[in-house]
Amino acid sequence: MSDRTILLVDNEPVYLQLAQEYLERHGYRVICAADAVTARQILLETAVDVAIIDIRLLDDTDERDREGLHLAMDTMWGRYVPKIMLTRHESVANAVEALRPLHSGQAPAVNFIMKHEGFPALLTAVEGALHVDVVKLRRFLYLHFNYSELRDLCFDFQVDFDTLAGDNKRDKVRELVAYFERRGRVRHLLINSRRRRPQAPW
Amino acid sequence: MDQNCRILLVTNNPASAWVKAVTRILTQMGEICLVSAQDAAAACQEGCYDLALMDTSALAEDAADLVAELADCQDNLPIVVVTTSPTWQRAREVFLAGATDYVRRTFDEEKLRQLCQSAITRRKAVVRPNDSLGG
Repeated sequence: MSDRTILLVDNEPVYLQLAQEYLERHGYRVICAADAVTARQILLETAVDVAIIDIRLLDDTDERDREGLHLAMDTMWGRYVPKIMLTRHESVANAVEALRPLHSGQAPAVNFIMKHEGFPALLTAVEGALHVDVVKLRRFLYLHFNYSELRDLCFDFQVDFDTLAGDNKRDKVRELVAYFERRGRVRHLLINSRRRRPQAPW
Repeated sequence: MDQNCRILLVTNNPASAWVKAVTRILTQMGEICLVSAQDAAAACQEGCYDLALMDTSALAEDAADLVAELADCQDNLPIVVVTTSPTWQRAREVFLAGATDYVRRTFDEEKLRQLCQSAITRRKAVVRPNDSLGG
């Protein structure tokens, strides 16, 4: 059983039930919500690893209904949870809006899945969203970079090392990873740091 | 508006009316470097750009692969993919590869300027170091 928790948000009870059963069969703990208010509450109070959110949460027949997108755009006071947008209705505009980085640099969602692509596609998207193990990344940076090298890494990303909170290396590393997580760019940090230490064990 | 931008315009169709129009319009924003898709990564490695504008017409390469290649060459490079026939599948591919925007081709001068300016502004927001470190 995975220790990962998925929040699944959809106003279609049948889809909600089937998707929940499928994801639970694949080892995830799944919390369901049928509306944005409940989902927002869960996101604020529960440790969710990834959220799957249907774009239309109010009325499936209303193409102006983008309640799910609005939920995904909510910054939740800086609590970063990767989100996968789900929809039954093909729309370039919705795909773009879900995946285009906002002015913060972070996109509302990390992936966009059509319901007709099936549950395996949804599962693949979940695995993709969870792909970067930040605990491992923090450990990797802590073990294989000294203070000066961390400073260089920050410099390359135009991050001011001195403004990262913390007085010791462990704190600085934690803040650095959190900084990239908040921007949905932790994969870039992972790629760059591993590129600098190709021989170091991951 | 920033007048000193360096814009990489990637196209395999440099003689097209759209490329000519875009070059004329964006010259007002700064320096335009016109390269083929094949030479785009090398150009990106050689110089630092504020924006890459990718024309997918006449592209032999996969657009998403090219986006990933450019994103690897320069961190935080805003990459705007321009297409004549947008699809949600292609939108997903290019965004997952690291694109900043995916838009239908337009000749509208104001829209083009805004599009580029917005992508560059987003980039600046991403690299600003102090905006949320304490929060």
